[in-house]
Amino acid sequence: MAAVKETIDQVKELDLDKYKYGFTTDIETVKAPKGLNEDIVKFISAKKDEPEWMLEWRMDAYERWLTMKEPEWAKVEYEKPDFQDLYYYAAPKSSEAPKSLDEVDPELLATYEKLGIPLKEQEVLAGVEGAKVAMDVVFDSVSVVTTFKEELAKAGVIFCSISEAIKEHPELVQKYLGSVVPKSDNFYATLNSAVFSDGSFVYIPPGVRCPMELSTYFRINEENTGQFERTLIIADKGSYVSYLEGCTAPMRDENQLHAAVVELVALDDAEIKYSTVQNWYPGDKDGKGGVFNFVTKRGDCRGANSKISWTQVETGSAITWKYPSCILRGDNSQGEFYSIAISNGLQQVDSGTKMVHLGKNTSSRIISKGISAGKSSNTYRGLVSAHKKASGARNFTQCDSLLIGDQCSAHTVPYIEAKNSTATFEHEATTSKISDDQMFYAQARGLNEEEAVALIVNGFAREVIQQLPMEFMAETQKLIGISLEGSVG
Amino acid sequence: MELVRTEAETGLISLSEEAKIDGPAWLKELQETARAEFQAKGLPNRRVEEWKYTDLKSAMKVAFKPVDQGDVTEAQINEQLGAELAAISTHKLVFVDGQLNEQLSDCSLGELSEVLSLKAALADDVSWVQSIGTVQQNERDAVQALNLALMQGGAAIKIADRHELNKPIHLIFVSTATSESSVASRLFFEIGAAAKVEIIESHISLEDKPSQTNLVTEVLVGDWAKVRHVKFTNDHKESVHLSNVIGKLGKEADYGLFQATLDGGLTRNQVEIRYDGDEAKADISGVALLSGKSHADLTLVMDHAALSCESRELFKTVLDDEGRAVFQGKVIVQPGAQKTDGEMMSKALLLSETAEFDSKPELEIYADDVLCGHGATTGQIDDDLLFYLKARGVPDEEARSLLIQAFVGEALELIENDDLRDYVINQTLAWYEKA
Repeated sequence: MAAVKETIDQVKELDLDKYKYGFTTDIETVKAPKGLNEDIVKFISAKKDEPEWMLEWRMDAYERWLTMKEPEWAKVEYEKPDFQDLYYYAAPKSSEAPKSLDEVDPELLATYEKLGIPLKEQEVLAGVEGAKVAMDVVFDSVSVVTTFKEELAKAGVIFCSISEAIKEHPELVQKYLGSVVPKSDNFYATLNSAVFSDGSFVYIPPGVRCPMELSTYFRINEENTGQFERTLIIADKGSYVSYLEGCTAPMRDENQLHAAVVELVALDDAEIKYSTVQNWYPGDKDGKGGVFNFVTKRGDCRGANSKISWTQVETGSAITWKYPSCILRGDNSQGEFYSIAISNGLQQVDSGTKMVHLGKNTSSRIISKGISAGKSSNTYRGLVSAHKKASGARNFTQCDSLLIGDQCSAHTVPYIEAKNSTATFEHEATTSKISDDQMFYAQARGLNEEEAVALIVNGFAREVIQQLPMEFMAETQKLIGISLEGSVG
Repeated sequence: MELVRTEAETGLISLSEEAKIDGPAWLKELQETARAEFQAKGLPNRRVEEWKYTDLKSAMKVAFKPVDQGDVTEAQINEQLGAELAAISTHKLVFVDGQLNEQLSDCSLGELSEVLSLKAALADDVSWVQSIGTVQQNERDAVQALNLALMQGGAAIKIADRHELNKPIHLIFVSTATSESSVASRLFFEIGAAAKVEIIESHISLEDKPSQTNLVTEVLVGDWAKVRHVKFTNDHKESVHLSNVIGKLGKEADYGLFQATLDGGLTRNQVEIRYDGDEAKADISGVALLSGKSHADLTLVMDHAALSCESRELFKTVLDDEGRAVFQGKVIVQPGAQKTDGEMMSKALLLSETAEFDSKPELEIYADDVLCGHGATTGQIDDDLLFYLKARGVPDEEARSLLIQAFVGEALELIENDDLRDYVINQTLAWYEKA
């Protein structure tokens, strides 16, 4: 109940138009010229001091991207970004990489403080005794501060920016980069392959249980900067890692494009848990501004008995186009997808997952909770497929949609393909609204309308919230309340 | 850009040239538009989202030609129907190679009700048939357009207001062709307010030759009217059967459609129901039992545009050998269609390693006060259930057959007419024995 109380307080403080995290930091940035051409790709690669093979990889992706068309199958409508009117590279100006937090631009630190993630206090995150969260902070495109490196190094864990990994661990990057999401996988992933600026790299050695939860805070800052993050996580045999990703962006009038690629590789007996809380600027009440989020996330359960679990809480962005998927290649591998997608105002969400069963006795579970309010549109789009050789494949899917108000819409588009008779697939979907009985019950006990809605929605999404790491749970309950602000009455 | 046409497409386009009906100007225009639509789209292939799992372009190599109406006797028809079905007392409407044969048919459905041959009704520009081709709300797909361009056979059937038919109408499509042939027909039903009609539809062939059927059934269901339609097909294994049922429901109308598909070549049963009047309800259900290389596709759109309507769908599919089934069901709730209650369920049982089932149940909802849900399952025979039966002395094969019957039975129960239900159950039993 404490969390709900807090939610109510936050809701009171805000109007729909006031995006809490909508502020801009003035830091000098180094930018590449606007637009995209071969020179820009070369510029990014040179700026990052990359080896020749990386540049070739980027150039190849760029050439393929030129031949591709933007996908139009998703149930979203928006003005297509002008790819020649974007900056593809922006880095905070800093003469040399800082060695400690003291050397970091104070304004940058203040930005994070406003976001509620004071770097100086992150060693022990509030309320979680003893837990440590290492943070590879991404400010626009370049990793500025990486902490806890030493402790991780003791365990043999590599946690660094991808540009660093390209230089320091080229054998790992060459082996795994693009092995889950091929460089020309889809329009946005290909664009990312050509111009990705930075991102995180994680390698967990065999048999190691990562001593802490790893986390990255994304932050889009520089005006007109397309963000092209690239994340690569490899869990070697018998290892375990939990990765947290949280996002928030400042208020803007122009649409901001974000096309990230996340690749996960789990080898034999390894497990990766990837959690996301996404709260980018959704645009004002007329739908102006707001982030375009076109993300390709895919996990490959490459080894036997491996497991990949995606948990996502999507409350922000004007347009969300995101399908965290699992390729269940290894025998007995498991894939999970837990999602809460909340849309309000004029937001459009088209999100879901793909579970591709290739190995024997693989299983997957999908729990998706869509909450649609205001004039928003919320679509679940998913694929569950069993290959001919995937005997004993098992899937359970539950997609629930909740509608708040008569101007919004909710859609469910699942594709279920069984090419093997021993596959057992179950899919269930429901759409409903908050019943008058539920509201009456809550209000009769003294909650006002908004409190009641927040409580009921938190209950509706409970199964997913429970999957989140402790650190995110409280934050998520707050976010749910804030996101639905202004949707009732 | 010049389209690369397949042999079948070229064939169909030239057939549509010959198929123009000499009728009123509006009809000429309608056929011409439809022909142009088909020319622009070509046969649907897997790049067309609604045809993702049924690639008609690659499955249909050549276009068969229609044949002239052949000779057939009542005895021959009854023999093909089988004693059980022939014994059900009905108003028989016999379509020989697509054309309504009035000698073999019983067209007297009662006062103010009418049965007209489609071509004659169009040529004479009968006023109530003028709404042909307009029941559909969504954009026509290539197959529906093709039907308008090619239609030769079929009938226009009008049931007067408050008229309750004393026995079912039995639509019997007979093919007499001695070689490959095609039929493009359209049925246009205008069911009056508070009328009650039961329709049985069967497709038979005297010579058992491959055929290509393109059948569109348009149904205008009047306020408070009740319609029950049961369709049964068991086509040749090289046949292509493309069927569209397009219905529009009036206030408090009650519409039921049950489609049973046994084997066949490529079968596509497409259904589009538009709820136009408040409190209307529809139950669209069916079974498909497929063996060999049969491919059956059930594509459904339930479009709710009125208040407090109800939709129910239940489909059971059993797949053996290399059988392949597709289920695509979409429930749309238009803005303002509050209090909609929709439930859709599709279940498939896979009996062989090489069978394939693809399903895509969709919800598209623009109103908040609704209760909509769908479920889809795929699996094989439950080992526990099999064990239970075998432990009680039921031999393996019999136990399996019982479990399949029970699985399909849930849907078959929805057929209201007792005699007809028994007939369909017996047909499915014969299928199990063969499989």
